[in-house]
Amino acid sequence: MSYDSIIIGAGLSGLTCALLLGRSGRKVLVLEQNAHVAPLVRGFNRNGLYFDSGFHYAGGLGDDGPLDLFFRHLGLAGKLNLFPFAQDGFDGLRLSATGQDFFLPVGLANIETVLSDRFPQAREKISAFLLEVSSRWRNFPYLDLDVDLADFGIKVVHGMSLQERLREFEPWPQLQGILSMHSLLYGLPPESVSVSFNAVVAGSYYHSAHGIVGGGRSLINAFQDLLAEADVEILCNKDVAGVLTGNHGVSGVRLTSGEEFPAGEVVATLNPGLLPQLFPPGTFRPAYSKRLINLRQTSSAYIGFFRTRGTSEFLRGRNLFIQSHPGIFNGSADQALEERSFYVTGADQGSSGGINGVVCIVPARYDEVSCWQAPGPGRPEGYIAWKKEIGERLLTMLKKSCPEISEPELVELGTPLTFCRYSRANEGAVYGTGHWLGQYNPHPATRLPGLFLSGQAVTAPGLLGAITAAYLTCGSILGHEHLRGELRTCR
Amino acid sequence: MTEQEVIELIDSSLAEEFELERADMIPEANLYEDLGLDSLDTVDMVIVLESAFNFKIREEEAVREIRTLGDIHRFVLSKVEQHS
Repeated sequence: MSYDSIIIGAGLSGLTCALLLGRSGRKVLVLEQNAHVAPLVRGFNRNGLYFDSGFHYAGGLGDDGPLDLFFRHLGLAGKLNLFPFAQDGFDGLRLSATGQDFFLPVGLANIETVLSDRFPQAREKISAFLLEVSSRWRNFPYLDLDVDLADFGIKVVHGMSLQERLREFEPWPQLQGILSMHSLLYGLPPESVSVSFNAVVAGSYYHSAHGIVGGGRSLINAFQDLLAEADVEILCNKDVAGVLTGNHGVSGVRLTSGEEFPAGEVVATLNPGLLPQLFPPGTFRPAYSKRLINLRQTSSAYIGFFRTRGTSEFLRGRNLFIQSHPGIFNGSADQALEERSFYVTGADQGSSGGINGVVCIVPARYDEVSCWQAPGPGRPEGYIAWKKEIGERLLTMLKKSCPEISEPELVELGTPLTFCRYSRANEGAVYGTGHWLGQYNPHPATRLPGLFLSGQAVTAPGLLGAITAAYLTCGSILGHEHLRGELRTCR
Repeated sequence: MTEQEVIELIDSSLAEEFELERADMIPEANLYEDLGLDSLDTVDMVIVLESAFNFKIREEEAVREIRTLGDIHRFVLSKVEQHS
């Protein structure tokens, strides 16, 4: 069977690319190494509760938001029920040492009002910072459809770090924490990310914050319905061993099983660091191969899933970013586990019942788990006992910082090894390739005819980042003005 | 570094990373028409130069105007001068 386009990876970018290319009239095949489509996003059930693993909430889904427009253009809007996060405080910084909470309301203007009331002497600085966020967060070809594409040239990746930018807020360390806590959502320390990149991610949540009823699973089910309507074929348990090339560029892919699928176009959504090994040596110039292999990744994480005795209403429509002391948010895994900052969110909030589960994400280093790495599917003896110990420590951290949660009990724990298994990212990088200050992340187009890249590495993490990446990639294939024009008609 | 050493480091780095023939690498050589590079190589070129000279390239406009190998020599020489 021959295809026009093969997409490697059935994650959010891969599924979006498949839909856009399928609808353009191409015969599309998606290959996924895991047993299920979008293994990181679809969540799972334990003890009768649904837990989301990779998707927790999305920015930019409110009125006039870019994700809302993508959802309408893709047809997802009609298939999903969304719920807004708490308008008076969707994301909160909790300082565990003092128990203080600082919540951000939805909308830049509301954020400005609330923060200025709380920190009146910083009023002008807050206003200038938020103005910068608002002018930068949509500075991207598919987030601002009115800007001429020619204006998006080579992106300079050097510039002021978020940490430097927040130095003027030193008299208000709580404010420094509030304005940098979203760094946890892209997995980089504030000293290593540009003000612009932080604005892209944080700005989308400042704009609006929504959940999806049924979580990541509903999202993936909706994608699968739409892909079936577009006659896109998806095959799971298919591990791509290499991309085949001929005289005119890409000619198909070969699986580890030896099976081959001819195609004139391949979109690789896997971690770009893994791309060179799919090609015979000499396919790319050393400059490009080295660039991909040397891309710095984000750190990894532990992700704890807890059930609770009663409902945790204080988490309804709210996430907590917990750090021990005021100051710039430190999302690194360099300190002892108990000292690390972490993220807490309620499980299955869109359902009609109470919030009877909690998900907690704590940064982790791969070297904490590398001794348990074993070839093959099994884990060495001792891993289970070690995992139990980590789970108990996370439980203690959660109980200490969120005493409101009624009798949490660990039901599942993901470690950096879990991320390695599901995403294949080097060292379990939770957000894959990072958008580090000074790092040039790859562009969707490559010099090999028919080969394109997609995935969060080319744009930004999160649902909005992954979908934007797919538009950027498909724009490179189908024509940016064509795709932007289609989007404009959906406004 | 002398001017000659700077030019040699530029040429040797580009030759290795882009698999170029040293004989073709004359200052007048057009990167796109004579050396076979294209606009997708621009960022790779920036990365190669940043790592060879350990500086950061922020001059977006200047990079966009580069056409020949000689333009790269002049661009890098002026940056090296600024840093010394």
